[in-house]
Amino acid sequence: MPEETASPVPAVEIRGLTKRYRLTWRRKILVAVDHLDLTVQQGEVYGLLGPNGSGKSTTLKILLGLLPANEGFVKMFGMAPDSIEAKRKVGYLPENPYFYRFLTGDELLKFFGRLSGLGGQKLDQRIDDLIQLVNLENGRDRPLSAYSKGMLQRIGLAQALLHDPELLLLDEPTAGVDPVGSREIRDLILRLKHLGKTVIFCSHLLEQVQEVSDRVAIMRLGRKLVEGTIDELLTLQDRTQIIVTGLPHESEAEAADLLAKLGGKRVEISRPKLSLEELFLRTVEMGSEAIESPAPPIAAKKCETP
Amino acid sequence: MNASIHRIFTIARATITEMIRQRVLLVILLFALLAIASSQVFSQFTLEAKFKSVKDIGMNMILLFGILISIVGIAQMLQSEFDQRTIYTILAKPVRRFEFLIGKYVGMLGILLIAFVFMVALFSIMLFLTERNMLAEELSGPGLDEPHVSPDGAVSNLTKAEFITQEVLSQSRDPRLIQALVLTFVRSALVAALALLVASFATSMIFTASTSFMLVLISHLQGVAREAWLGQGAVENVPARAFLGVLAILLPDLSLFGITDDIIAGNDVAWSFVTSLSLYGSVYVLVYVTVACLIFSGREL
Repeated sequence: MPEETASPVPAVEIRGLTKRYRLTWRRKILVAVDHLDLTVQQGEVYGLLGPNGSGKSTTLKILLGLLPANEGFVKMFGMAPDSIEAKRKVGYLPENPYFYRFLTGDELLKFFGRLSGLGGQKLDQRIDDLIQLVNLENGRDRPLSAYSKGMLQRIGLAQALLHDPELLLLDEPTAGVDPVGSREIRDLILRLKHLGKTVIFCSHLLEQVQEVSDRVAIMRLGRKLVEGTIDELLTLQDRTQIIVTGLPHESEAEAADLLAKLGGKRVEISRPKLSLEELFLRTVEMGSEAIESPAPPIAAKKCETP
Repeated sequence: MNASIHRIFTIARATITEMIRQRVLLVILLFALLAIASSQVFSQFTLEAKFKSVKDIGMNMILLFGILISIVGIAQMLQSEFDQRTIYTILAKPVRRFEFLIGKYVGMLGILLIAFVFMVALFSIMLFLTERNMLAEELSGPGLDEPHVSPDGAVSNLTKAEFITQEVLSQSRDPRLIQALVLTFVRSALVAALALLVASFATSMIFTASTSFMLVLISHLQGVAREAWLGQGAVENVPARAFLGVLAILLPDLSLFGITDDIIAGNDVAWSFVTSLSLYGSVYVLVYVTVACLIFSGREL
């Protein structure tokens, strides 16, 4: 008799989720989430995209048990989202830093750690590790009221990871963070993925979402418009990209002709460009070298490249 | 269960830290201390009148500021959680809503306790200063070594100096004041629970504060209203009886706590009465906090 392997419980399962808000004097009703179906498997990085007001944050709040749904159901690891057991498995980074500003970074992490059931040396060690991970050694003894937006985002990430959750809900994790910090957060998400964690995150930085997500969904007016893997959604099936290095400029026309002869239509030959983010990061990374040994700027170097 | 208590105390501790660092309540406490200290300004000629004014002002200021701290504290601490949305991150942790609310209330009791320690300490200093001044004044005259003679002519085996000292100390170190302080604390804790109930559904700090003050006022006056409306013609006045009946169930009769005035005046009150009045207050605290938790559990954040 063949042995049946039970498929793992999805990290998040949403069926027919609808959330309505009554507006002023109960005359109007705003549908924030409209019959949403979503399944996120364990270990997946899932990007939830959409313009402001598309229902992303409301969906996250329902997932956290902060808001009740009007219709449909939500399960996290097969449990009700407002149950203590489900919450033990979730780490949440809010869109804005909703933290006690009167506490220092260290005190804030201790507070959240105790709420999560941690304590003693284990908690102290965990806080040390996370402070190091998010690079906040200089800020741990300062009150949050003196933090910059980027520092608040880092301490927010630390508190979300404090109890080593299985699922991370990150609402705009890179908001207000400089490109270097943003790249570090991206790397952190990838590291969490390799550790087998499930990550659901909302972001307006589409390039970053593309880099880290296994699957994405785009929402608008509370509805899910598209969903799929990055490849499924972004690959243009009728096009082929060939990247060649060292091709002399005068041979480009010849190459285009050859491709056309082989059946290619609308052959275009152009030069790939760096994204602005890549340029910024390269510049910053090379900044210290440039100061120590004067070298031509990046732009000049690029111009010299054939 | 232990984990739940641990979470409640974690939230309570953060609440106390917040109140101390935000300094709003420290300012109120400063005013309270100034008001208690002002009792020294009012000098009275007779020994009893002097002590009565110090006790009256001191105890009433402790009560007034106890109520003020309870209402302002609860209104501010809960509303700021919504305004700054810190409640989202807290409730995203393994914390139940009732644990959050009870933690806030326990934190408020902690703040009240701290405020009472400061106020009672200053009140005791004021009594001590009055005691020293009185003794210095009263023991400066001639013939203090002679036996004390009471107004009815009986000769005591105490000297006049010993008698005066005994009288002054009985006023300044009156153990009955402990009863008054216990009841004042219970009354403040009860007001805090009432404010918590209002705050559990309120959407602004002003609403919580003003509604709570109004309910406290009604709770103080309902005993008077009962006497005035039902004292005569009780049978005919059915609507008034029904209204007061509902009030009596929903709101505590805080005028019962007016017994503290009798204690300050030097009348004996049995500990059994103080205990039963404290229990009466505690039952209302329990009911208010429970109802607040139920309302808060269903509230959309």
